[in-house]
Amino acid sequence: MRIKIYREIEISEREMFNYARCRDHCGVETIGREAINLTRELMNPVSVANRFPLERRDGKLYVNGFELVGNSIEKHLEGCEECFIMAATIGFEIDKNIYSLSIVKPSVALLADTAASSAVEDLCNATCESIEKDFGVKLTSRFSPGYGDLPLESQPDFLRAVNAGKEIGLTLTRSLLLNPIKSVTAIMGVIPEEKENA
Amino acid sequence: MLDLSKRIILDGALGTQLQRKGMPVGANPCVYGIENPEILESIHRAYFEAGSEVVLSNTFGAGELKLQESGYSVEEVTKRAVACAKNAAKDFNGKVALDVGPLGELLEPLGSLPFERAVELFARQMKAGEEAGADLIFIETMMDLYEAKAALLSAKENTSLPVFVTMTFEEGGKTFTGCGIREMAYTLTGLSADAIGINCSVGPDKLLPLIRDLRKYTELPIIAKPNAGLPNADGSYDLTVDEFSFYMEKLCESGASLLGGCCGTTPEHIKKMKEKTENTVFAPRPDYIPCTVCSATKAVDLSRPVTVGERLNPTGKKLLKQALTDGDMNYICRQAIEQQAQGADVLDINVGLPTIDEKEMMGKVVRAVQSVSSLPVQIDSSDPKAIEEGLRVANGRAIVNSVNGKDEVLDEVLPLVKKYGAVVIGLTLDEKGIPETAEGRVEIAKKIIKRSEEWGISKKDIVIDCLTMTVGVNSENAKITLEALSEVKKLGVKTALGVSNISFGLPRRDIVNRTFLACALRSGLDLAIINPGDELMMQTMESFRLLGGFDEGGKEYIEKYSASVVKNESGTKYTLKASIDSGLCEEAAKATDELLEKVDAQTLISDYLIPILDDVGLRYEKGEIYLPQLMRSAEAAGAACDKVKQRLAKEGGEHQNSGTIVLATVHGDIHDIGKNIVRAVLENYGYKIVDLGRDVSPETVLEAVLKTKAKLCGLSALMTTTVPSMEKTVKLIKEKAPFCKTVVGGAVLSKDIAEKIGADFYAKDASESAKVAKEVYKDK
Repeated sequence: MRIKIYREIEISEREMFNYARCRDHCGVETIGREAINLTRELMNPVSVANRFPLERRDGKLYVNGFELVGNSIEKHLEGCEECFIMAATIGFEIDKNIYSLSIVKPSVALLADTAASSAVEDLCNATCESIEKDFGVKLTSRFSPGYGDLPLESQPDFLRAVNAGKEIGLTLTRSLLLNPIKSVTAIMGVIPEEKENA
Repeated sequence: MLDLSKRIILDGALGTQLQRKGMPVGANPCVYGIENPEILESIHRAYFEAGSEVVLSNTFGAGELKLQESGYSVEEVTKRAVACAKNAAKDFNGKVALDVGPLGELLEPLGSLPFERAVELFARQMKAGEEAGADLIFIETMMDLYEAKAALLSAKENTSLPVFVTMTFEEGGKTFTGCGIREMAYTLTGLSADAIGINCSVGPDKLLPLIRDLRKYTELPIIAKPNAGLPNADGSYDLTVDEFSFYMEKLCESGASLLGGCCGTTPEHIKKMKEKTENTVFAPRPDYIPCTVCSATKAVDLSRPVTVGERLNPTGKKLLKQALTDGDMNYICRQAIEQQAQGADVLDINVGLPTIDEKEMMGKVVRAVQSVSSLPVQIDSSDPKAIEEGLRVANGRAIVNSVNGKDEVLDEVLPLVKKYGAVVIGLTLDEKGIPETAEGRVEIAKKIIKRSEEWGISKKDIVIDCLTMTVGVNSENAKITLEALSEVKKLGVKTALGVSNISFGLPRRDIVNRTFLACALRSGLDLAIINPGDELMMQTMESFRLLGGFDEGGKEYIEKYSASVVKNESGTKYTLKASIDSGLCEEAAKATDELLEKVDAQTLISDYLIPILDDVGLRYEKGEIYLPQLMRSAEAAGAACDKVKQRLAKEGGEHQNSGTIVLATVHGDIHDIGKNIVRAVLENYGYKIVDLGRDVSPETVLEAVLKTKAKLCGLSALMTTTVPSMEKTVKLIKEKAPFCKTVVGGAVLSKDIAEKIGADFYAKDASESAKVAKEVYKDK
């Protein structure tokens, strides 16, 4: 289901410059501002998430009928009996504009690219906050296909689990990359209450 | 067949019903339907019993790409699903629509599926559907207008069935790819859909404003097939049957005449909806729908004077000619982006050069331009093949420039204009040439209008160009053109003029041009084909819109001209070095102009520009400046380079490039920001860059290397998963083009990986890639 976000998505100037491997604003504040304004204007942040029970059979971990492969995800969700799968994107428009900008104003394109990364990161944070609030749960951190030994090949299962194509227009390329580019899929465990209180 | 002037009841959700009847989560509905035909038929039957007159076959996901691992073919799924629906239909005298959903892969430029491949993929479904006996085709849940166009064209080209098309919109009236209601309406109406509308999306309550908007832009019957509200956490939907049908009645009153439901709706929803709308009178359509052209994301109403950017036309433009000959899409894209930024409303695209395949180039340029600009395009050619290619790949509704009074031209081009639903420009000339009187030109205009109308092209979609003839040749020329223009305007069509030809051969052409433009606008000019980079001309356009009552409250005028532009307030003069160091493009251009008075172009590059760039690169390496600063300096250097090239072109000299470099983001990878930065830096060092874009196959890279004889090829990859594809490309080049060195870079690359995959060089950033290039081309 579509997740209602209760606050404005923030773009962190610090992250924007950090991702572009700069220390502070390195004398290009104006370009930085232009990049942030542009990203703010063009992004269309939407996210979707569903709640699933986690099943453990024969030493393997399953969710929504597919296997979560690898030790790292096993460890990440240790002790959890439920999870949320989420997908978030800030849309196609920003991708298209970064592309155009890279032809005429590469410096702004570079920073708009990192500003957009910061925006999608914050959208993920806001999504998790909303889930915790609306469902009264506490979540583990996010874990995405491609992290640790969870293969990128699980990306289609993640998208299917939340109907991401129809719900937020998020698709995959043949090589399993998310499209729009500034998008994230992730799984978060629901921390059991006793553990939460411990 | 169906009487589309009446209300027609469609069906509700199929997927929801299949799930209720036991289809497991994650199952493919097409396969489930084939394996459980009795369940499928019972659902169709339930909809007919509830009052549906048309049901959609269980073929939403029956495209080749989606069925890949199912073990069934498109034809088999289609045949059996349609047969199943027809079985249910026969007791009710019901109709069966072939349901066609998205292909499952995005089209270029958003994804990597070529347009014509999409048309082919759809064709398999369309043909199979007609053969299986479907009564009509229902293309639905499209979020990309380009894909909807491919599907509709495919249906029209491969079957004789009526075609309905619906797209899925967000509450704000846009699809996820940015297509609005207007863009959908004009494009699909132009392409001769039989009914259009909205499905899925949101509940009928939220659809109401969207349907009310849609009815303003199309005469076609309107379809509304919304969800049963919004989904709840448990997968149910939030509107009750009563609420759903209440709003469906409102939708019907608002003009939607083909009514059904999407996700979460059931036979009960349909039954109640039918009862509620039994006697509803749907809102009448507007008497007049303004002539509008569009891209996928931007509609331009031609009821007010608009600027058509003329710069993508090689006539008299040496740099563009060169770019077309070299296939340099980057230069072309820059022209498009700049014209849009300067305020053009439409982009004219002309690629006619004797040495190139015009059809192929037209397709290529239109695709490139629409990947960077949101403006509608004007396909400018006299070659019907090039016109058709442009019209096919243009996403949205285009303008054709042009036909004229010659019978042969009218017979060849008007059918294309009709088929693709374009707006057409007619030049007032014929077999006998250009008439020297206004009356003569009006006569030809009348002929063009008559012939267009015979083809079913509405008068309001015709634009007449009365032709601007040089006033230096005959002092009556401006008068004749303007007189013809006012007369033609009375015929109820739009008008166009290429304005600047008026002053050919005269001094201070700008003075004559802007006065002529003002006169023409006053005489009723709608499409001014001009250079939007010409500030005076743009000021005339904008002030005329204000004075002519086309700019309500002067909003646009005030917005543009109240902002005082602050430019280098101090009046400080910058040297070339200072302006590049500070990243000031205009100052760099100015300093270059001044320097060019003293030194020749080649010296400017070798003795000034390159040392400055080397210095910037060095400071970046030392960590004194950062990547955005490096880029900013690269932009200023780019502005300087442009000045040098312009000067050379003017003087008839050739720009000596430092060598050719092929660049690509490897197959499977769509992250190309890094590669684009490298391109910008290398360009400034004077290399000729052949940028192949992203997701490029090894074969395409090789082909470009062989064709250009480049001694260096740069490959970029951002993801670990695409490194193998980089390796494959490197190996292919080593094997088939040993004269070419490879340099690789990207977030996941390292010197070790570069060595492992056999690349000659590893560049950790753009500045390093410039060093590699220097090394490779040092003997030049």
